[in-house]
Amino acid sequence: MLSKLRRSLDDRESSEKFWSSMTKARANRANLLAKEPQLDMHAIKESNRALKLAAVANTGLVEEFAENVRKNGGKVFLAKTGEEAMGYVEELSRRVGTKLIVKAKSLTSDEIEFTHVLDKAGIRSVETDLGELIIQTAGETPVHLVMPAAHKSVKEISQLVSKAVGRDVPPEDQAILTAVRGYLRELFLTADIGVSGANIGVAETGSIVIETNEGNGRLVTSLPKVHLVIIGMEKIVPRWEDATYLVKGHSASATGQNMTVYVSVITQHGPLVGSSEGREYHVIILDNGRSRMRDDPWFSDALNCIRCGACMNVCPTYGIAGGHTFGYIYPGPIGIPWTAEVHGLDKATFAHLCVSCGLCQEICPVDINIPMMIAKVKEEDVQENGQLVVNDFFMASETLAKLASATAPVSNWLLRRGATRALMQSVVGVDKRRTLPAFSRKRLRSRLAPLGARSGEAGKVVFFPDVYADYNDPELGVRAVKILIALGYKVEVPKLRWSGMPYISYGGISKATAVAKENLQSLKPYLEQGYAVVSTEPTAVYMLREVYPTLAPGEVAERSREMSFPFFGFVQGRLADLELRPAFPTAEAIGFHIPCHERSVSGGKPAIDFLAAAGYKVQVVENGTCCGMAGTFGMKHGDLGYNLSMEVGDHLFRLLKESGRKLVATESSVCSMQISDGVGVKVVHPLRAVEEVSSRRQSP
Amino acid sequence: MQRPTGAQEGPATEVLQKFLSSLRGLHVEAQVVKSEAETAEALRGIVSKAGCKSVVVAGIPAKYAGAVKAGLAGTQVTFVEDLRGTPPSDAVRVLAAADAGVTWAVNGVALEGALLEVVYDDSAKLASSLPIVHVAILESSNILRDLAEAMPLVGSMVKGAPPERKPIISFISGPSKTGDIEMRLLYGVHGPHTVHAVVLDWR
Repeated sequence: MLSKLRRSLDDRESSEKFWSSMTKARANRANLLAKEPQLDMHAIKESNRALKLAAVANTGLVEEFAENVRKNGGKVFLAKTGEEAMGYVEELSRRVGTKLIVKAKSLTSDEIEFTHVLDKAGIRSVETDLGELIIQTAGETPVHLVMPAAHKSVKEISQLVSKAVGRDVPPEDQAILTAVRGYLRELFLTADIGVSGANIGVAETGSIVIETNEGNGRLVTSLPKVHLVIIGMEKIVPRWEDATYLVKGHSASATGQNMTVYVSVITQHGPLVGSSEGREYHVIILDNGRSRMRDDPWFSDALNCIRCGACMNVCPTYGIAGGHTFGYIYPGPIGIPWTAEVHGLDKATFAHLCVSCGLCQEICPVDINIPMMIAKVKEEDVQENGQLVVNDFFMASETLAKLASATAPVSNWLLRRGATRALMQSVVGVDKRRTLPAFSRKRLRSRLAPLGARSGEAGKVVFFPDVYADYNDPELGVRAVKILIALGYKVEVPKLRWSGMPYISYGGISKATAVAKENLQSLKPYLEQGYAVVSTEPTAVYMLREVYPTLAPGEVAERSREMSFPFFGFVQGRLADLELRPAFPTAEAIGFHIPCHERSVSGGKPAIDFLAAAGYKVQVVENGTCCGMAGTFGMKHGDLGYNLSMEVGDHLFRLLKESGRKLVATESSVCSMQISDGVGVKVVHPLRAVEEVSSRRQSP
Repeated sequence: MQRPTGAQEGPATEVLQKFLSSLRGLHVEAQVVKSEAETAEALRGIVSKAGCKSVVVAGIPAKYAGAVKAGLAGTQVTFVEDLRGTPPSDAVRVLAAADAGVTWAVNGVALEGALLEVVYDDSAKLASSLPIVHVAILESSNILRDLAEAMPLVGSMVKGAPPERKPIISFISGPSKTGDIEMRLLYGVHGPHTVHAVVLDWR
């Protein structure tokens, strides 16, 4: 994986092209959502999730679907493994006397290496989706679920198409399309078997729904005498009504379309000009590990995937590494649990390319907790193959911060020395190029005593500092607490552990669970008394809301999910009560970066409102994905750390440089380090962009 | 204030307008025709502009067949229903050689912009899949609000059909397209390059 990553990092041209494809894919989705205000992705997410959870858990659905296919005259084969499925295909091909199979795009058939297996058996199977044809000719696996050839240039495509059609095709779009149409048209007309996948299986009628754009799917399912469907058992839903949101969520997320050009509903292989002779319909329902996944609380969520590919469009490191490095057969974030489960843990080592930004879950139209499954795959791999020293080092960040704080300013002096940094790089793997934050001798709690207590007429708050606002910049925590007090809140800062994010990043789930339990235990009495939990660190709120409830499920975690707020979101409605004065000149706009972990929580708007209330013009500078720092990932030495981190960041750095902003605000302590290192501008927490804050109306 | 005439048709008109604008946004050339003569004229315009010499026609209800025939006069017209009984391999050659396919859409879907094709023989599906030009004809009264309305209807069509004769259903939202070459949106891959919707607003 590391050697592949190095090649991806070296091949800047391909990497640049691939990144821009992913940027465009995100823009397509965003444009649709902007254009169609009635397209409520939140409602689609909720509906799809409820539906898929129930469908996957319903063990009777497969049989109901199969029974209805049989009733309509189709043949059904329940394949436990890929080998069994392919055995059926080979037997069918031999019986029919097949010389040629034409195939529509089907990721499930890719999963069981359909064309490869048939090739070895001497049966010709041709991919008819343009992207799939390109990669079949190149002998590659799909680089992306929806855009399998997104990494190929028009020149490479013309060469591959030339090879496929057997004549020179110039590198021009229309010439390529014409050549492909002509070449495949003859194959469609003469093939004996047409193979398709299915986006949805509807149990109540035994029908399948296929969503396509090119039109090859319609030909594959109607021209050949035999239509063979390969459907993963997880694709089956109970009723027709269930299909609407799945179709809408899929097309919006996959390509930014309201619907794909063709949504085909097939229930049997119909007659052709009145003749049903030799027209057969076969459905292979593939298990291949899915039953096991369904019964595994860690991985059953992967079965909710509808294969839209949105998670790969938004994944920062996939955007650089591409699906051949960041993937096996299934690429991208959702490809990690799928690969580990259907192809084996040893094929899923690309899990370590995940930087735990959480954007895959945020964009997923079924709200799949992909980050947690990836953390589990990482943990399993670490248990099998051992942990990197540098990951162990960063998982000990809390202890190290304690030590560095207790020994400050000596620790700060040491951390500034080149010799120390060189040693840290060679011994533990902390990249010496990364600027590390200084530590404060006096921690947050010891600075709070003079603030005084308030009765809390506005409410009660626990302030959760996490590492940065406790050990590095406790003044930030002081400011937050002062504002909350000024607004009339009773504020407590009990002894809490850090949020523990690096444990998730590096596969330390048991440690993350222990921290979650400890923090929830500490918060419990407060939550029971109606306290809200507020933090200035986006990652802390993300952990409290999104991660702790999974790690330590129960009443307290649910309460923490409901009652945890990002600082600016919490005070958003009270800005008018604050006297906010800018700490920097406001003639020029302040740049703003939304941290990944803030996106699912508040989207960044509350902090923007706060800056605006202080008199700033705010310019959001974003490329729609992570800045690349990803917690401690960007501090690690080498390709699987600093180098990849800066490569991801480079796209944001360029935008920030182009924007000309001299001052940038961001809520995350680590994004701040990345932008400051990458752009060389001053980066501050929004609370540091204002002077000491006072209340307009002193509370009584 | 005086109500504008035809105000009672407001909602239906609204759905029709949405349908037309959605389709146009999806590269479908959509037009409303008010009479038999206009229908024939519309078809004549489409096939002559595209230079179509041969046309396959599928699923047109008898009452509109005259208008369709008149519109396609001068081209070689094959009704797929007349191909019944010919060897399938010969029939598909006829379908593949046609320059245009004129087919019936049982419904339109306004919000998402789609034509709903329901057939019982794959030759009819091929009439909208194989030729470069596809013309779908539908009645203005059959336009549904959105996919959420259409999907249960599709379900009931499938459920209501006998096991040996299930419908073959397709939503069609424009010309076939691909983004597989450097993510450029290119029209006309395996299916039609252009799609026309002719909305019949007459009986």
